Amino acid sequence: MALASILIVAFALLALWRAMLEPSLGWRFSLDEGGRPQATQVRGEAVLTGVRALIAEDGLRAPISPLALVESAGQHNDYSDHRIFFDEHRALWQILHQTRVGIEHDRGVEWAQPQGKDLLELGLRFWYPWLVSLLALSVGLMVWAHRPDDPAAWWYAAAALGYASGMLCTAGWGSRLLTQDPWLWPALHVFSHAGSFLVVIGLSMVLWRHPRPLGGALYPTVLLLVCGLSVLADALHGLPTIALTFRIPLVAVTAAMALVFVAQWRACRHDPLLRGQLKWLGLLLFASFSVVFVAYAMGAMGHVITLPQNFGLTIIALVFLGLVPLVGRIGLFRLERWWALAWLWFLGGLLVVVLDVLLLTLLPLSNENALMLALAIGGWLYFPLRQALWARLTRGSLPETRDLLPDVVQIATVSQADPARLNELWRQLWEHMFAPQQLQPTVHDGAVAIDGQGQSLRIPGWGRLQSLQLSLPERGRRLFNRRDAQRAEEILRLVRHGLQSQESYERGVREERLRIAADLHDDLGAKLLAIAHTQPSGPAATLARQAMDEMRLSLRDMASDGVVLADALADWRAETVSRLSAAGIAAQWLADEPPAGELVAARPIGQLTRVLREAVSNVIRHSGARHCQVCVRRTPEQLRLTVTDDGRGLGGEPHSSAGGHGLPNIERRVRKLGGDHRFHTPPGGGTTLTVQVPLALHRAVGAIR
Amino acid sequence: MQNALIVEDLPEIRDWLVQVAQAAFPGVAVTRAARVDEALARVTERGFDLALIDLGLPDGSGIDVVGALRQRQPTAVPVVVTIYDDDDHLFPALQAGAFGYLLKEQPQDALVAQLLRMTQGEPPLSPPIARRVLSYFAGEAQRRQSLVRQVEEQVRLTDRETEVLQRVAKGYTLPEIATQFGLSRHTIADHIKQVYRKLNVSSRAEAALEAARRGLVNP
Repeated sequence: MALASILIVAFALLALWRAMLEPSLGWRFSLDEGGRPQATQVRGEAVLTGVRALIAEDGLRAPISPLALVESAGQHNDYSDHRIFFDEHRALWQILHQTRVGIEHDRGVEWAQPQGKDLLELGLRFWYPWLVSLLALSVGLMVWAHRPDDPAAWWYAAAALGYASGMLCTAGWGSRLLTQDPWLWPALHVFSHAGSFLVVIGLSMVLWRHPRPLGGALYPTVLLLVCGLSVLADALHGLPTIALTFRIPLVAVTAAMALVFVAQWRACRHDPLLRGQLKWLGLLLFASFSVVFVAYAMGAMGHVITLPQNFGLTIIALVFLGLVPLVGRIGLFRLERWWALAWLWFLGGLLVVVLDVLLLTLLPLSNENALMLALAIGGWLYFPLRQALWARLTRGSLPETRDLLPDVVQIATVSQADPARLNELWRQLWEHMFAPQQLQPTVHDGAVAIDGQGQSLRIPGWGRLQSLQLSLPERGRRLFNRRDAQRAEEILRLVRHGLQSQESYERGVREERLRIAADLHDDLGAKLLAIAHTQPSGPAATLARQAMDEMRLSLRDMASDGVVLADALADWRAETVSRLSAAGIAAQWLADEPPAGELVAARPIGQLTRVLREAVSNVIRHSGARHCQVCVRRTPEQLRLTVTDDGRGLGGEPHSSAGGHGLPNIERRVRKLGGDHRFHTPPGGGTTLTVQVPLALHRAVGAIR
Repeated sequence: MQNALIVEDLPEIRDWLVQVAQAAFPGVAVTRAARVDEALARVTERGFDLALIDLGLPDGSGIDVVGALRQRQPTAVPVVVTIYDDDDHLFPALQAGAFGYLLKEQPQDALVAQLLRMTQGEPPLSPPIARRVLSYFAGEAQRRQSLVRQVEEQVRLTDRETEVLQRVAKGYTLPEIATQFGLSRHTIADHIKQVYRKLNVSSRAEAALEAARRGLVNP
């Protein structure tokens, strides 16, 4: 850490010191619109046009050509021009160390005394890149100090070092008034190119090692070889142009980063967390490099770069600043959606730039017209493209919220009395929505929450719905992001709303049933009771009691949506056995134990209760039997009830009950349930009544309702 | 059975209940009441061996009379007389301490027989009620943990009691259960009486606890 701090301070002071070496005449030299040298007063408005040379009192003269006033020597493609550039600057430097110096221009000679430069004269062209490069260097070295064992961090720090070196050199000569110390200048020029290579090498290697270390030595070797040879050729002027020794190789190695990115993308395909990091890294690299890349590519093709290098190159600092969240591993999932937006924004910009360049090169258009046209066409193409890309990038293959409505409706309408089924549907909903790699119950209250850097999403439960933890959406292909959490909240609200309405509906129904039941008991019941008591032992009393029974059964059917089959069978058994025993008939009850908790619709059970009751009444009153066997068998679709007695049998003619309704009632009830019934009297006597009715599971009934 | 209390608002039914009581227990002295307040006043005035109590009274529920009688005169046998046969109505009455229930429309001889069985210590227990009692004691396990320890001991069902309840819930009749366990019918009836008693004690303790809790929260 200490070493890093010293290095940063040293870099800062060294650059400042070198920039301050230049003696100031109080004039800043530049090129006017016609490409002729001019001088502008630093503290004042005066302009000297058509500057030709600096002269000394002893007659020494150093010409100032347009060649010498470009921002950087690198803007001259041929090394022969470099040599002229540096020769001119050596002569100028010499004259600046005289006591009085004259500026020869169109209207005569302006004399000035060279003095020490002051800090204000450095200007924005120095301070801006100076600050940005120091910032990038600090970030780079901080990361390195933070993870000293990680090779990726080493390469990252190297890239930052290269960037700071290059930028500080550029800041030096980019901000000069006229010239700078010429003796080290050519060397620094090569050094700054080496710095540029180091940036690309460093970042390429970061991408090579991170998020997943890629194997093989071919790529690093070729990379180092290309860069090393280029720097060597640059230093020795081994090739005729700077395009060949610097720009073309640099563009090539930068472009090769795209290949490394693709290789990483494939390597990370099964790990959404790593891929999230890669997305961010890739975006930073591509966004920042592509701007410089386009400029350099144009330079490499021989176009003149008009953008001030100082400003253009500061874009690369984006990489260093943007990597902070990546290294800190903070809120990567938050970037998931941001990432898509940034890509769209970036692609939109790129589209306009590319169109602009194309129009300029293909059509005879002025700069403004080309830009206007590019913007128009760009906008035209961009928006539909954006729409499609946005849908693709943000949603992937998951269903829209509206596609999930059937699932929500199902949850809201299924019977709340069956928590297992309810939770099955609940899990199914989230399964459909996010296709998570895993889905398990958890404990969670409050809002939907993203955990573990977007690796899981926690959904709070509601009433009988369990809280759930979902991990890695789309079968683990990506991370959860804020948008997912928002959509989950929306769905949650819908489900809650549905359940609440369902609840209030059920409450309303329940209250209504209770009211009807109370009314029936109080009014009808009281009157039936009065009838039963006027003639306690007459047939009217019997009928009134039957009517009362009937009323209670009807109310019971109404009171519940579903009946536990085991409970219904128990009630049947208790009643039947008690009644038969009380009548002195030996009862035998045979029934399968139904699956625990199995719910069946209330209506058929209510009707079968009456059928069984009447059948038993018939046995008691008319058969004269001494034994009676009742058998209940459950098949997946049907319930079969068999009542067998050893009485006198039907004798070919169904006996009529005391009330006169027994057998016809059985027939009517069974028919209404869609079942069938059969009386059978074997030759030896006795009667067997068999009733079969279809029995829908209550679940199906609930779903239809 | 010497003193009976008949609480019923309809005069004809009240007279008829008096006949039932006198048929079951010849020579029994009958006190009549038509309202809850009237019945509560009678309960403070004199002792009863038996009470037939209607649930739907003009000024309130007969359940209050059951509770008051149970607390003031633990030896009395409160029986609910109703036209409702569903456990939603009957269970609270049993919790309040009722010893059984009679359905009003039944013929007189049936009622007399049932009443005699009840007072001889064999309370009626239908499968739905048995299920309800079982789920009450199972489901309230957590709540009972917070009950006073001494009460808790009193209200825990024994294994045998639970077994009896389970058989009843499955639809077996009391004679059948007695045979299955090799016990007398009388013993089984005793178990059921214990269940009723514990249900009442537990419900009362719970109500007291709830009142205390409310008192703490909102003095």
